[in-house]
Amino acid sequence: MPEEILMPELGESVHEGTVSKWLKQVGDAVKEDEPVVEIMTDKVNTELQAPVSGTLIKIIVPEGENVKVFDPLGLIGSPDEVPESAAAPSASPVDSDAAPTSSNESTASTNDSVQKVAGHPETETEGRKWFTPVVRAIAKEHKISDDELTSIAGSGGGGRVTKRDLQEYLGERPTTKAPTPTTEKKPEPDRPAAPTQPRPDQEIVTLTGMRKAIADAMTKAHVIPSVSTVTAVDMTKLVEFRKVNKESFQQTHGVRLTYTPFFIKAITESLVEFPMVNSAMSDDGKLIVNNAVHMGVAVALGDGSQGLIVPVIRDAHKKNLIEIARELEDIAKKARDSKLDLASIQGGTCTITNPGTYGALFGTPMIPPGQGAIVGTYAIQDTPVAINGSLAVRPIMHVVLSYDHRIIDGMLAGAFLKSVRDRLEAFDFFR
Amino acid sequence: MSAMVAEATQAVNMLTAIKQALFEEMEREPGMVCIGEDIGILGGAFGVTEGLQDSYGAERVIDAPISEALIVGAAIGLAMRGRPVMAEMQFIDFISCGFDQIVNNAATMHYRTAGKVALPIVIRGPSGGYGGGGPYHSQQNESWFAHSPGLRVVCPSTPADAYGLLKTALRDNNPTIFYEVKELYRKRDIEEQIPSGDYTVPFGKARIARQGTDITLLSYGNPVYFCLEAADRLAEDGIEAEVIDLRTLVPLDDDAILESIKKTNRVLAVNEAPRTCGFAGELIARINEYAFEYLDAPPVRVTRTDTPVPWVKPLELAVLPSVDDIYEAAKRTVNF
Repeated sequence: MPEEILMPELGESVHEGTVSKWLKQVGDAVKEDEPVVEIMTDKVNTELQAPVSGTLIKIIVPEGENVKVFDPLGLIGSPDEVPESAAAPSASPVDSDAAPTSSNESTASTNDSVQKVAGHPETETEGRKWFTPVVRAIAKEHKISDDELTSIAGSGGGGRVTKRDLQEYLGERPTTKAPTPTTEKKPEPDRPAAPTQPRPDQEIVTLTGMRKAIADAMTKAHVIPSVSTVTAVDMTKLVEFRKVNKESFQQTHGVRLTYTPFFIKAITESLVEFPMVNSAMSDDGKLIVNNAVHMGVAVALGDGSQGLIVPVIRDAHKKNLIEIARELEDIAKKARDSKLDLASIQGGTCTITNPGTYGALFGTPMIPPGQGAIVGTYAIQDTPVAINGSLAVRPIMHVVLSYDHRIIDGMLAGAFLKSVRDRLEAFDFFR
Repeated sequence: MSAMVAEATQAVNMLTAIKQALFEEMEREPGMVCIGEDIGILGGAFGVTEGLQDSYGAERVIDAPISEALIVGAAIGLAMRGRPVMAEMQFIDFISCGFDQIVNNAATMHYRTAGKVALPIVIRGPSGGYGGGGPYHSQQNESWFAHSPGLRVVCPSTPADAYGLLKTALRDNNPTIFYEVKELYRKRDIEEQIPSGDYTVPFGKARIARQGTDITLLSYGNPVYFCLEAADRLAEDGIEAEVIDLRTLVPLDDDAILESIKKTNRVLAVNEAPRTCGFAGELIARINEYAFEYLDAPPVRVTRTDTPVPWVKPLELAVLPSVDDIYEAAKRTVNF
């Protein structure tokens, strides 16, 4: 019997992923635990290992296609099970040749209960979704395509989409009382936009995985009524300190001395001082007060074209500068190697982004959904400034706070930024 | 009325309700005749016709020889002369002895005479298992007759329905096969008051025995109570079952079935008769034809096995449908 390569549950909120790459082709021999396929989800990229040794005899979900949790991606069997047509890999995820497997079972049984009460027919053939008549009828009424139906997470047997699932998907609630005839027109569900037609000099790419997640998150972020407030920080002491200690720090602590851990430390201390900035507004309009600081750190991947991920330094308020520096280096490396697990990118209460690393002078970052604020740190530039009536040249950095204006007022934002500025300028937190 | 069996305000069992309907119809229709084995002097094997011969005489309440073919044949003859007839089968199992008279003669009379000859006949008798009656005294053979066009087929489950439907049947111009579930004859907890006045229950109107939203349990006769008990258990699991008592199989209340399935999208059809070609199968065939687009799970039958009804109690219960069978089938269907 061929063994299925199943899409695992990669996190509590991960329902599907995208096959980014098949590392083996049909007919290739695979060893148990050998990576066979690369999966990309909203949160992480990962390789899946072969559940058994054998030959990859079938690719059910081709590259670029989505796969739901617990659905089979491919089959591993013995070499003689490789289908004739495998030489030309099929792009179709639909497997029509699979027959229901339970027929033997039900005819063989002469059990009383089987005769008195009919068993259910096998309803889901491999790779193919089966929808009940009422689900099909409602889908037809609402012009929902098979693909869209397939994308709905089903609560029925074998993940089957039930009427209730579809109604919930459509934003309707099934009535628990006997329905009364109503002339009210049901609200039309949100229709997906008409497919974009490329011009001759364009190509259209479907967003998948991380890019899709970023797009969704930014759309959500855009809904937050946000304001940005900016302050300028004189970085003289910090720059000086870093210049002097860069090498010894690396030798003593085994970690590179960059500015970011200082920023995280300063922001964290200010968040403890101003807990409201560390709060967030929930979807149902309540204030979420966070009693711990979990600092998200935006990490750009590749040359900036491969997306961005925001690993979280948990309990930043309990960590000293060196611990933060070490953890930062660790998670940034993991992020770039796509080795982050789900826990390390969840639960951030505030986020820092550092566009200064690529020379940006000033910007207005967007608040990650689920948080109340984001701090941007920008390029440190020698700038002429007036100090006590004289002109001086100082390394100046802009720090921007974008914040949810529903819960954070301008004055609070200003006080928070002043607090961050004072900490960075005084530079008295490094003990 | 001299022959009243019970006061109108009294809760009665099903047997008393049927007896009362017979007395009242005999009183109301002087031409009506009752014929059957031991229905006169003995008053019927179960006592349904007790006192009837005393009240209306041996010419209207006739003790017949042990020949169901004769009983049905005589009933047809009397009915052709315009006399309503109640023909009793001592057990409904014995009806097969009168089979030819029923399906070839009575059932086709209306058709063969272009509607000129009416046959106001009610063939009634005790039916059903669960009582240790063995193969000859435990059957529910209603589907034989539902399969014969021209017959009405009725199977009430409550005293008031039995009363009201028997009256409707006795006044109807078509031959009716009337199933009286003998296990319900004297069931205490279903005793009820018969609505006053000239109470009748129309053919082709099902009764919603319990309202529900999650699954429809279709049944008639004794299994209605099993469905209600299963529904109580399902409710503990958060599943609200709607129980429909069909009351008459021919004519059938298709509308009530459809309306319920529109609401619940899931259905069990429960009958006490054997599985193959039982009425539950007919129900599911119809549901597939007119309610397919409302189904969220395959419709399921819960029936007796395709075996005779054993006399030994544990075996009898093993072949007949149970509350457990219904509960489990409903759970599986809801979780489909």
